[in-house]
Amino acid sequence: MEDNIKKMSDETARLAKDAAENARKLGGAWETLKQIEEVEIATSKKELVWNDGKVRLFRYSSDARTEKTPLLIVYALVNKYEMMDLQPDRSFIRNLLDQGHDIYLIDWGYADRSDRYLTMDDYINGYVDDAVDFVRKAHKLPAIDLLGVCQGGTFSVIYSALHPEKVRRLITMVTPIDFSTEDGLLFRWSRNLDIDTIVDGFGGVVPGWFLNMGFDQLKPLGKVRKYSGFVNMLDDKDKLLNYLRMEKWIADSPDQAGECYRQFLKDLYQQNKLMKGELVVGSPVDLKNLTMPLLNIYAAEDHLVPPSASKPLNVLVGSKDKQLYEFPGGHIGVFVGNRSQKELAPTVSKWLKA
Amino acid sequence: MQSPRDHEKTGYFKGANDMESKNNAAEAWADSGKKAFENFTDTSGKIAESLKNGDLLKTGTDIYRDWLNTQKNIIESAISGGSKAATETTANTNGSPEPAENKTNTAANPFPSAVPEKAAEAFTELLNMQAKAVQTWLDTVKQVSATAIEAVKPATPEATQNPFAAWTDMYQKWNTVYSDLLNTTGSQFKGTSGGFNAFPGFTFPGAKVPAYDQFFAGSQAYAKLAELYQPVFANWQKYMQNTGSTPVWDAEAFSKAFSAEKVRELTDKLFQFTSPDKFKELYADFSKQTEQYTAAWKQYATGSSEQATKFSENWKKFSSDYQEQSAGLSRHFPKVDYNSFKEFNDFGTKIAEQAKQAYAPFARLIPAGKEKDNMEAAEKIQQKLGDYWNGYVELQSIIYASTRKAMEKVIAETGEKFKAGEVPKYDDFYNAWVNKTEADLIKTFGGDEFSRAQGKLLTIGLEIKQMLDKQAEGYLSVLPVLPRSEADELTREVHDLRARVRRLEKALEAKENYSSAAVNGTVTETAEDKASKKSKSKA
Repeated sequence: MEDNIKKMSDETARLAKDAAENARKLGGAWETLKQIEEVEIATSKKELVWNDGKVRLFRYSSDARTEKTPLLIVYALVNKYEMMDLQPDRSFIRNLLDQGHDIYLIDWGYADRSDRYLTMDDYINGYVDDAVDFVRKAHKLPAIDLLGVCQGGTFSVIYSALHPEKVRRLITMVTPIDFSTEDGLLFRWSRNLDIDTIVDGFGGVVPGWFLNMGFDQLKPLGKVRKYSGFVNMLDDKDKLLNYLRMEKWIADSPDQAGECYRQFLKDLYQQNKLMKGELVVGSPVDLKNLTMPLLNIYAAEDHLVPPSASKPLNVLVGSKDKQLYEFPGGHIGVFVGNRSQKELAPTVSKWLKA
Repeated sequence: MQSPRDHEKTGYFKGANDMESKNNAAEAWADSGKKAFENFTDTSGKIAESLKNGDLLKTGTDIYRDWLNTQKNIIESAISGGSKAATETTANTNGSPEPAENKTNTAANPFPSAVPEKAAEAFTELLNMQAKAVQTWLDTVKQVSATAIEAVKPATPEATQNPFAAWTDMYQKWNTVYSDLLNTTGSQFKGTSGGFNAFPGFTFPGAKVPAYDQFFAGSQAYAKLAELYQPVFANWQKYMQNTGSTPVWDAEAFSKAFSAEKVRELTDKLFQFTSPDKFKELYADFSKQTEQYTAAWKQYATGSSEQATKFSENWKKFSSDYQEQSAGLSRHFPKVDYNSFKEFNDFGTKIAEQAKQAYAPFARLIPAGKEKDNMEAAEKIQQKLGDYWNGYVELQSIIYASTRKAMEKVIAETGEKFKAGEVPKYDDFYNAWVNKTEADLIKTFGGDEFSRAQGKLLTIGLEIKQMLDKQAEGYLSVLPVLPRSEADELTREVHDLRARVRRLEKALEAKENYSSAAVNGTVTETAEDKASKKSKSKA
């Protein structure tokens, strides 16, 4: 009995101390937070070289350029491109710049009601094609390199199939192609959604918060999970800044032009037309037209775009030179993880230089 | 060139940027909070040490007195300094947002000049909250000390009979103080009367939900789970009592060592669910609208010019109220929230039925036109609200079933650990619960049942929103404003024209390139050429 009393005393005292320690950390949060004046992301220098309405084309500044063929990055309409340049020591873009690449990037801006009728045709055969033409002319080249990310990867694949003569090499990262997969919740949920009601109900512009609500639900306890880790970083400014940068990026979720969203969800998520060869974006999209060298990168633990949605691209294209690259991480880790900096960016650079 | 949204210019903690002095009021507040926490931690350490050493009886009173005195000083200092600062801040806002000249006091307005009128309110609020938090600690630590002293008193008959009762009580009190602490700390940032929420820097740029709200929703779930851990720990204590004589492991008691109601509350915290009251409010809004509408028509139907004038007045009032109410309604949709209200579902159906019976015969008097359309739309909306409740309850029951099963597994696993002589830390219990619940929820979310229920609820919610939007447009048609549908028509025209210009430009460019290439003898066939050839050959 004496032993039991001692054990209970120890355990109760430990619980009390743990509670007090957590309370102290919470109380000290203000002290750490007040040292943070700005949470900056995407700080690599860049220059605006072209724009059409809200869509802007940037060229990244660099003293290390050695590559003659420029690389144009096409990011998704969902969230913002800043993830690729989150902070100096976690920047996929900075890493490529250091390897001598000349990088352009399309910033889609923030769609509003005036953009509600923009279609996939407008985005792909309009904005992407205009940006590609601008870079081609600026460099006096018939074709340039294209790198598409997530939905931007799907756009790049479609673009490359429609305009193969303008794309020298294609890189896709965490890109959905086969939407019939059973592995991702987004793919399953989309089959039970009434897309027309969603687009029309939101007045033609699908809000970013609505998309984020769905993404949050993929990891339903994500915010709660963050809590225990967050308390432990409250007295570490650097860790806290890393956390805040990521939170800033996550929260910055642009609204979606309704017509483009409608076609993307109905034709791809629900009817898988790209895989079936039935997709029409201005004209029919035949993936066999895609004959340029292809590097298809997917993330092994991607919960947004599972490997089974990305991998089939290599089977469908007409390219003879095609590579499939598995990155051991998640959808976001591809850009910000330590391994990405050490391994992925150098691999992409090496492939481009080969 | 169109100006992009310039997030870079948004200071993350703008309030902090605007601070001019290290000795200002906000610093005083933060400093007092820090000291209070340090005092709390320090005292907790001393109590824990005394408990271990078994001399709490001897030292408890001294520890408590020291803590109380320190705490008193902190509060007095914060409140006197803070009140002074708040008064001066208020004075500064009368005519000038800047600190008054010739003042020697360094407690300058610590808040952004854009919201000076909120500064004093916010600061007073913070102080009050802090005082409340400290008071909670004071009361609880006092009780804990007293209980602990009782527990180690060797000679009382109660203690001899059951020395563990006092320990259990003490542990529960610690849990309570921790839970209160988290809630109070959370509300310090959230604010209750809008004072602190008025500061723009406290919301992530582009975010709809203030970051602190999200974060503290997490902390509240953390605290809420502690309430579920408490009976588990109590069971362990019970087990420990028995091991001295006859070891008894009551697995059933462990599996039941939590209340379903608390799991439900925890699930509500997880998803930041709305309360049933919000639905009642929503329904009441809508019923009021229908009531006014029918009253207006009733007067009109009686026929006199006096009544017609009344109708006109009522109509204006109704239009104005409607806009206000529908704005409130729209805010509720389409949010997929989960909560339990079976009874509310029945209530909604009943109300819709009654409303329909009340104005259905009356609607025959109304001639065809916008008014009648609106009347019918109101009826449809009420029916849809009933459907929405149904879908809501269905989805919510799926979620609750999943979270409850997960909790049962976690409790059972934790029980096994206790049985094996291991006492898991609260954080371990918390993490086990997070992992298990998330895994189970993901499995549930991947099922057809959830996917269909979610899709159905979302569709109904958005259909209601569309109906409300259409109704709002109907009412606005008498006013000189451009309705959305007409603005959308214009937008479509502009879009189509832009697309046409783009096609023409590209065709022209292609033609120029072709001519130039033909001159140079470097013509290659483009995708456009191929498509053009195909369409020509088909024709």
